[in-house]
Amino acid sequence: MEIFRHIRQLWQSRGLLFLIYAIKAVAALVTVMPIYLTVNSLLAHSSFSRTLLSGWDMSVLLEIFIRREELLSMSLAMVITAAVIYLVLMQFINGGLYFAVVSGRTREMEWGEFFAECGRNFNNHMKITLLMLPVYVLLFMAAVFFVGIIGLAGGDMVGTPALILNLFKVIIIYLILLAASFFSDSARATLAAFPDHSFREILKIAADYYRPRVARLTRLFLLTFLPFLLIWLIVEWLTATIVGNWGGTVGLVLEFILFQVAAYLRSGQKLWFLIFLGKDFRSNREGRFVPEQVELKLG
Amino acid sequence: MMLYKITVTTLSLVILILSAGANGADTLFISARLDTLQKSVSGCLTVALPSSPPLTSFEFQLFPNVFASPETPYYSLESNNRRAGDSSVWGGMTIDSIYLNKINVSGDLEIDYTKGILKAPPDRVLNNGRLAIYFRTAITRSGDRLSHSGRDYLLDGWFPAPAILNSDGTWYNPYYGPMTELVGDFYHYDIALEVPRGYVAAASSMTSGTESGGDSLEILKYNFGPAHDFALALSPDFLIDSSHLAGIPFYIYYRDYEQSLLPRVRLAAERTLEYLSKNVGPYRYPNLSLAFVSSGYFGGVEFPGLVVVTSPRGGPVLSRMLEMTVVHEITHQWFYGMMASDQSREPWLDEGLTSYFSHEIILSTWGERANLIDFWGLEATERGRLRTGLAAISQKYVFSQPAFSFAEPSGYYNSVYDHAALAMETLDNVMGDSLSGIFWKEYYNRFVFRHVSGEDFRAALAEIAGDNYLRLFDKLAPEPPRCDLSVLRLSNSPTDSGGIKTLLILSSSMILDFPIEYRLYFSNGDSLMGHWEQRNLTEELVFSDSLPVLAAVIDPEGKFAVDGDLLNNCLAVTPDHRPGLRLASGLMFLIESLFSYLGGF
Repeated sequence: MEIFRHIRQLWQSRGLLFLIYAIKAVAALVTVMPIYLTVNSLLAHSSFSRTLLSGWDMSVLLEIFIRREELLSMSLAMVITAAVIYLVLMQFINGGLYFAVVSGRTREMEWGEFFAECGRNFNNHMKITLLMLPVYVLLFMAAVFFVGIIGLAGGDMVGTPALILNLFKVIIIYLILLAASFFSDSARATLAAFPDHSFREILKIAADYYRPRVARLTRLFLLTFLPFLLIWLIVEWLTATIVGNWGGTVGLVLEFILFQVAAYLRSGQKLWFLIFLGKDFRSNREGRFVPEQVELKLG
Repeated sequence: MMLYKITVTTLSLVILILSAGANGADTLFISARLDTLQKSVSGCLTVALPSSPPLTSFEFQLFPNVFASPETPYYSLESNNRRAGDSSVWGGMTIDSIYLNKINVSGDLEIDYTKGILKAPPDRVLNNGRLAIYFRTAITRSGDRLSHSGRDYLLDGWFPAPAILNSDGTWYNPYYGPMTELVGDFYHYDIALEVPRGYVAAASSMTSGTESGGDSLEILKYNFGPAHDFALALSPDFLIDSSHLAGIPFYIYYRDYEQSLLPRVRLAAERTLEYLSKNVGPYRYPNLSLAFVSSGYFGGVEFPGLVVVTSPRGGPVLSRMLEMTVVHEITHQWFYGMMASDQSREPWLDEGLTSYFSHEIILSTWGERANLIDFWGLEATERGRLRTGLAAISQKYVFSQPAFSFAEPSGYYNSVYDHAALAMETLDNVMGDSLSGIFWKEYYNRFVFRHVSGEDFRAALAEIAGDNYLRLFDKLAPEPPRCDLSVLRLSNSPTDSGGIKTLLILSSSMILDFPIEYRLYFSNGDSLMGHWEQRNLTEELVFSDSLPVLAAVIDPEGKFAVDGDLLNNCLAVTPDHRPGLRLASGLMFLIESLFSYLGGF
């Protein structure tokens, strides 16, 4: 399979992968830290919280929120703020990242060059994000309406069949949003290859690239996503059953490692896909990545 | 032999007459027809008025008028009004005519909202009269307990039920404001209901017979009582599952797609019937039916001998909310059904007691942990659900206030269901198994097939359990929840003699009049239980031992279920950061996953 040939290149790009993962992990850690400090001051001296060591006992969470009513709204506000900051930060990183994958230089690219590209294209990556947000919202609403019609047809179900139908609905919504996200990826790749073009021209080139390839890109993304999904399910199962039953410090450390492995692999999955997309884009729309012309001096 | 037969027959008759007198139950004769085209029920109710006390009037209830428009008091809360807004056709009951001893007295009838009042002529009484009321009830789609959905019907309050007769000859005709439910007096029911052929009816009792009503109609006949209501759920799609649970004939009316739920329903029903028969008193209706209904609301509704549960159609049913609903509605057969109360004025007597016993049944069936949700490591309990209500309770409400006086549904549910259930659990825990068993059985014996009031409950509590339990109830009931037990301080210091002096400071936000247990955990793994004889809100206790105390827990068995904060009930000398770290680790992964979908990585 074409996509599996790029695993080697993904391995060679582990520096870039670590950067992407580290940004995500640090952003999450910074968000969690104040919540942890507040929660820990309530839980550390209370034996009531010990059930948390063997399962996600909602009654402990409930008692925390009973005691500190403001914690829920505070946590929510922090997560939203962190999500916005992360989104903006990723628009900065996208400049260097898409340059690296479209140029095919994910391994040998200098960090200085990388961050220069980050700064150069920040505004346009931000524009793409702002353009895509309402598109996602509209598509989400349309997708929910669409699966609602499917739900009417298969409504006489309860239990496992209903669970499967609901999962099917979620997959349809996800696929619709996923297909839209490839246009975002195409636009960012275009921006990397044609940084001097106007925004309108970039969208046009991106649309020309995206239209005939959306089905193929979806297929390839799912090929990279399925192994990750499997790993994620295994991690969830391990943490919920084995680690949960162990409890204690060992279980806690093991669970943290497994969670972070899953988070790291999720970043890797997207980079794996982008390496393929970058190469495919370059082979169709070279832009500034035309192989260097060498003047042959004959005679 | 002949003499023996005469004696037995006479004694049986005497017992029958006495028992009927004890229940005060006369017979309501209802002959009616369900019109599925017009979405209505019309017919005639006949009742013989008693010989005493002197009756200068007769009052009855037109409950369907609560669904007459979106402006009725029943729909006055915004959330109820939104539900009413779904309806394009309104319901209601009209009285075509009313006859007293075959004389048309419709001119003397006054109707005000849900109250029908027939006044006797001056200097006359209505006693021993025979009334016939001809009625027509329009069924709306948005009515909760009187509604239609597609071809299915739920009929409750569909006939003009007599109001409740007071001992002085006046009538109590309940006010149906927001959050109220139908309240009635005990009667025997003799019913003949004509329905389209092919309809299957789940009712308060099984049919005593059926007759053909022509080519397309069937007459369903019922004899049931004593009971304060008679309801039916009808559907042409119902299938019937019959079984005997705890010795009681039990019928489930379901659609084919609900078949997979039957074992879960049977288990919940069986445990409920067993638990309540053993710990409160026997089930006294001839059978029990449960019907799945399609409705706009989530949950269930109770009627004597019948409960309906909203179909989880389209739902994966991953939690035990279905079982919890079944347990709750069947528990109502005791606290609402056999022991009636005025839901509109004292809703806690049925909803609060039912929620308490439902929780006990859930604990005894599915254990203390994860009894509501147990899915991939995610755990939730019914106690947690009740405590959420307790935490969210508004300080302006007490659970003993009338249902119609709550300004929002959440306030009603948090107070009447959740706070009342936890208060009852506290009372029961303090009484202990032995006294609690005696109390509930005696409560049942006193009030079965009678109406109980809050005052009756308090009097029974004082008489059976003791005045100190009534004082505890009075502290828990009228006040918004403010009970909080805590360990304020725990420290160890060496003594001159080489031992350890332990200082423990316990606190309670109210004087509870009962000793509060605490447990001390020593460094060698031993533990010691003590009792705090509370004299002040905060008390300092000093112990001397050879070992230091590592942790102290107040109320370790959670007897005071109304405690507003459980985290401060334990205090450990050495902090354990692992629970906080595990929570942070999980939350961090959750946020990382969110960021992945947001930023693409």
